[in-house]
Amino acid sequence: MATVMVVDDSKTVRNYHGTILKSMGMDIVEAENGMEALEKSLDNEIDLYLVDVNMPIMDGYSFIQDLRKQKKQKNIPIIMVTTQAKEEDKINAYIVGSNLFETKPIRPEQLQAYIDILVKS
Amino acid sequence: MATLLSTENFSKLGEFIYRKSGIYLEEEKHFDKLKKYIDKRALELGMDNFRKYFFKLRFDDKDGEEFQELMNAITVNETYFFREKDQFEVLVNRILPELHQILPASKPLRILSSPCSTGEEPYSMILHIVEEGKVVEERDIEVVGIDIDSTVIKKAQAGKYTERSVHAIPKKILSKWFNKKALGYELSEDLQGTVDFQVANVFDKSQMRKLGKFDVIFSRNMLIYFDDASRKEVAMTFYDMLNPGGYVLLGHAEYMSRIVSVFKAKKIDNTLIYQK
Amino acid sequence: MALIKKHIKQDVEEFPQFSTLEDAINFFNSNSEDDEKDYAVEEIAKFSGGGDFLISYIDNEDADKRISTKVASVISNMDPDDAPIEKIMDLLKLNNAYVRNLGISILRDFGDSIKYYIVKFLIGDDRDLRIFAINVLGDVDFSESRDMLVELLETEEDINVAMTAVDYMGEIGEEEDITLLESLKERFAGDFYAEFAVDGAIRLIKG
Repeated sequence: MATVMVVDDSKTVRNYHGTILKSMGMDIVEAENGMEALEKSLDNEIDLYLVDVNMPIMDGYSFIQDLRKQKKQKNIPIIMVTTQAKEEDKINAYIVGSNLFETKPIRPEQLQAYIDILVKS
Repeated sequence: MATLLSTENFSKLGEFIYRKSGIYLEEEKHFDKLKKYIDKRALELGMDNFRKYFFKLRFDDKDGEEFQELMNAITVNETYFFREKDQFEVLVNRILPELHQILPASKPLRILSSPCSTGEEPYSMILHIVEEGKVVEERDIEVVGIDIDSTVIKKAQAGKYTERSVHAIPKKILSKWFNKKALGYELSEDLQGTVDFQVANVFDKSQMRKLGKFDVIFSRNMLIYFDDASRKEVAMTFYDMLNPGGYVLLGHAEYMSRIVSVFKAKKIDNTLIYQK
Repeated sequence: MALIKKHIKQDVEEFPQFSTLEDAINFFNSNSEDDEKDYAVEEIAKFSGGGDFLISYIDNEDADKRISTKVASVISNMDPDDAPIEKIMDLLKLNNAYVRNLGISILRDFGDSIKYYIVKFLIGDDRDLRIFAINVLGDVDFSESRDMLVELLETEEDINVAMTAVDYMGEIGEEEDITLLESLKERFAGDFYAEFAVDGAIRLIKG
């Protein structure tokens, strides 16, 4: 059973993505900000991260930067999600180590497609 | 009367409490206690549904009293020896040996307990340290306990404790390090004075600076009572008070992720600790 | 080696007192230890114009994140009347997410003293700022919060902004708001996210 961590400060967005992912048979771990995501990544084997950009305490970019420093997290797929999709944001996402960049909310079919490619079930 | 606290309401309340205090509610741990409290409180306030109580909590609680009462109902305010003892075990089994290896030979290891209240927490550290025995044989260890309340500091300095306070200490350790008296237990002379107790205010930065630098800071169940801005302020003060590579330990249900991102989260022996 | 039994006076460096903002800034710039820099930040904030210097420090790609966090914390503790609010708001327009979020956290900590700015954001063009403003409305005790959210929802076209507001309506909305909420499902027809969020909010209102 694969586990996806949904990192977003909006409970509704976490619930929304979480509901879709659960219906695809994924286990979900939720975090409200990048720091909480780092704390929870210590406890859980995560197969995919869905990461919001704008969060208090620690934003998405800082989180990914820190996460990628950890040996066992170097290759775990990460999808960054944002409300705005400026070209510069996209480039920064890839620079810090994100695999994909999407606007939120992600459509169910799109999320299914990503899971199929990125998560080995 | 059916309870006002449905699972969904419990979750909403949990989010709010987490936002305000950093305490993360768990159904197994907190639901029953909370259910009893909410039903009772709503009755007292003459409210017949959860939304009214929740609204009051969020928008009609100018001096924070309602929230404080809720916090008192959920948190165990009692202090006693060896409370959340896995943290003391991580301290003596993992943290102190690691720091002992790294620190220059002449430097003492310094540990801060803030707030120390009547001394159970810092003395619990002492008991674990002397029982482990190895690090303290090779390295000076200083334990400092601070609290803003001078009456608890006086009590801490006296070293006398009730049956209730020592209930979690294994009998062997209790008989070794305490003398049984008529009214309770007294710390043995060997351990008297091993904690440097001081009245201090964590918001007084010059006072905090005078305490010097520490290698480990325990701050359990204090930050949860502060507002966001104050919590951040104290967390940054703790950061400044630590030597590089030093550790902060918070209470079991508290997380730095509610506060600041400047510490590195680590899990050791299933205990979450934060490193500078 | 042993447990130390006496109070050992710590050999602590006394930090200097500053008589001018310039002196404090010089100390900040010429010292590199965490606690020295933090002390300087605290002192700088006490001088008139200090807030401006601190904001310009964090408004910089190369600013140290930890020091920036300290700066944000110190500014949050300033009297909102003395704080450089306009400059803090400028941080919200930056591309640097970390600094942007620090700006948001400062404003959030000021709470209802920045009500005027919250309204400005709510009616503004920037959707992330509208979302931020809604989050503040949800957190802070404004008696007009519900009215403001209702007004926003009557015309909001951006799904993320709308659903953030819907989330709070679930908490502070009333039965009479249900019709408006239902209408959002039409406005964002076919969007599972909207359906999901609106149904959730209505469920909570109905209790």
